[in-house]
Amino acid sequence: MDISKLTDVKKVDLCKKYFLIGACFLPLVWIVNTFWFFSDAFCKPINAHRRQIRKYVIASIVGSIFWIIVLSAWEIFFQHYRAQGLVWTDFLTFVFPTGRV
Amino acid sequence: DGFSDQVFRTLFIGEGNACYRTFNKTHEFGCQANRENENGLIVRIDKQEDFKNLDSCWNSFYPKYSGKYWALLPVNLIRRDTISQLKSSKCLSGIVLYNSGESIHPGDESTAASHDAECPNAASDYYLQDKNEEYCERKINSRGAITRDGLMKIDWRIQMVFIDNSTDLEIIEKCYSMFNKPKEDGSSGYPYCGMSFRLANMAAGNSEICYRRGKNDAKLFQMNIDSGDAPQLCGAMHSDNIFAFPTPIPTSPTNETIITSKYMMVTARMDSFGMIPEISVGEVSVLTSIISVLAAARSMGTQIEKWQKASNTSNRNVFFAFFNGESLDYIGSGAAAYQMENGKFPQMIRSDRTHIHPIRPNELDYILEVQQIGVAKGRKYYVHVDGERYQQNKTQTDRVIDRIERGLRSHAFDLEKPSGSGDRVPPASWHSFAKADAHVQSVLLAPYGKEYEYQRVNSILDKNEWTEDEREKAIQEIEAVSTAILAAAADYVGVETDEVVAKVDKKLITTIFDCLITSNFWFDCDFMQKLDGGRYHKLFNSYGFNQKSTYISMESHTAFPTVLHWLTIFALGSDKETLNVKSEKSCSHLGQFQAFQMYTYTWQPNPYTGNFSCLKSAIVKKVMVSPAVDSQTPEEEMNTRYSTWMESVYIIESVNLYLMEDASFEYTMILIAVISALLSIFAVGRCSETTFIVDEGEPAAEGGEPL
Repeated sequence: MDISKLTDVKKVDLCKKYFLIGACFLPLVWIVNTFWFFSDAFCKPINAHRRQIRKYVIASIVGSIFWIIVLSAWEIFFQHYRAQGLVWTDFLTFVFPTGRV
Repeated sequence: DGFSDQVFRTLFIGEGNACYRTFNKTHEFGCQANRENENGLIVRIDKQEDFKNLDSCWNSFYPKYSGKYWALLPVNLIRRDTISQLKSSKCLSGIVLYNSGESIHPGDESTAASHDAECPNAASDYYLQDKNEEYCERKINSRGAITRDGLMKIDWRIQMVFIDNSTDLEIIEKCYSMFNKPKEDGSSGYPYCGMSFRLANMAAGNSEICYRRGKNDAKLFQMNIDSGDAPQLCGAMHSDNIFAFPTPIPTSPTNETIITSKYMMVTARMDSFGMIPEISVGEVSVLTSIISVLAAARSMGTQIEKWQKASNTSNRNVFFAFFNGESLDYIGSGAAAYQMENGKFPQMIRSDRTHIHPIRPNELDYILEVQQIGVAKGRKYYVHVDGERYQQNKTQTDRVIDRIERGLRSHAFDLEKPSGSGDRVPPASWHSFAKADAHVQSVLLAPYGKEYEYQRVNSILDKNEWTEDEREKAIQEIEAVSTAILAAAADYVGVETDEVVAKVDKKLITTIFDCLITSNFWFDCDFMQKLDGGRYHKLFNSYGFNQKSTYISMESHTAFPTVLHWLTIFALGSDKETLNVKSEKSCSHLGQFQAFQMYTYTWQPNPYTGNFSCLKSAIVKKVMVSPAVDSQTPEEEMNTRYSTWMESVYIIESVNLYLMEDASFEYTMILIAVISALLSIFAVGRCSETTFIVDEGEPAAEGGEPL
């Protein structure tokens, strides 16, 4: 989709929809939203519609950072204990590494 | 693949000829391939002094080479003074082991090469688990052990492969001589002969981890498209154990009557191991002791009516047990003790069938075990008992020991008797049963006192060159020990220990000694070939199936349990009641379609004549898995009372020999390739569409004009 051809009203609507979808535990949608509407939010002259877009983009950025921190912390924690071959980490593992704990 | 044939000289390596991973409850041991230890330049370590080159990473010979090495090393150079260098070397990819051809004699004291620990089976010791002793207090194998914990308990960073095929060894040696052998001035240059080998294990960590990961409920998301079950990463070491009952007691038809008898269990272990586990014949560790028990069983089998009559009167019985996996924390005896406690030994009982009556641990009076027969210093043997238990039943045990002494003396051997209440039993199957019952007594007959005299217990080098004198002495010892077993058993059961009973067949001992020990393979001699009668097939391409090995392994990939089973049937089987059975089919039907499941019927040839007959015997050949790693006994999972040894499933690749070029050669070739590519780009880049248009009408046609 080429959003440059959309009107500002439709852009606000789309940005809002992506923000709400991302709020359903889908941080990648927030990241897409951020990249997609970043130039509209911060690089173009401000108006009422773009102010709304900026609001959703900032919220998407904050949400994305929150998820990145949470997922990174979990990954570090999980990998640290997974390498010890514990019962709970094995239970959550999808594929056991061959020849390694 | 067609191209690789031109680059590599490939040597096939069979299963069991290389070092792989093994586990106990807490650790992983053995070897694993990784990027660091697959490839290397072939070098030789032929003598002790060559280890200096290992320390310097052969820098003086190959100054321009900075990679790793595969060292050709004879097995007899694995010693106390060399093992640390092999363990710590950072420039070794691996070692190619081979038999040096140097003969080692049974009495050779210069080669301390036991691959077992200073305290074999220390973690499973009854005294340790009963908190009477610290870990490894009695270093019984300190003279022979190469390392404190044994070579099976090393987590190697290098790989190891054993080359037994002389042709393959010659190819490697020739490759070394042609390309890698330093010239007279000490120099050498590219190209070099390189080698690659890879053995990849599936499992890692320890027994607990790999046992758990092999279960279907180990993971939340279990997706196994092929079979639906979790793939096997490792397996418990297990194999056949053999239990022979000359005078079996049947279960009562309704199982209402519980018969209580007393038993003497005559036992010898049937397994050994080496640094590469499969490569172990176990001549003294296993075979000589087994021959003495077999000879005693044969003598008993030829006069079974007397023994039966005496057993019926005294309610005392003798049975023979050949346990497997004893050198790895008592796998066989541990499982047997567990089954005894649960009323499942020797057979699972079905109420509508008659079986051998279950034996309980409290019915075992004595465990008479023999070890390391044939290597006594002088003519002296030792009997080992547990001091405390001995004092509790001194009179009866003294009587048993007295009969053993008489048996030995009849062949001019002396016996050193127990010294007192402080006596401790060396590593023996008794430890498993001692944990199950507080009264079972040990009578361990062996040619050592406080420490093992033989210095290659459980070793690749437990394979001797026997001179005529050494052979004759070993046969005499086996005969004496066999007589002692018979004398003790006869007195226990109540058979008159006259000459007839106590006479063992020396000719049979000599024949089996030559077949199992002197011959290159189990079925090389006439006696064993006749006993085989065409029944043995080399089903697997594994070391244990094609070479002499007494390692337990995790599959039935060794021939030895079959060999021993057939020999036991020969010793104790009888065709008196089956003379009318003339075919294999009718013989097997005798066993299958009867409610009386106490006996087995085996269509087996007589090893003297080769004539087949249907032999009736009460012999149970049973796969025993340690309860700690048996999925059938989840309540005992990883219980350290039992053995927790497991083996990884692994993929073994062939050895590849190839020529290694200098790195500068490779850089030159890359440079040429890059220049060629650039030239091609420039050449093609200068072309336009018109360059490739040959027909002058084509541009016009593209313009819309008709051709």
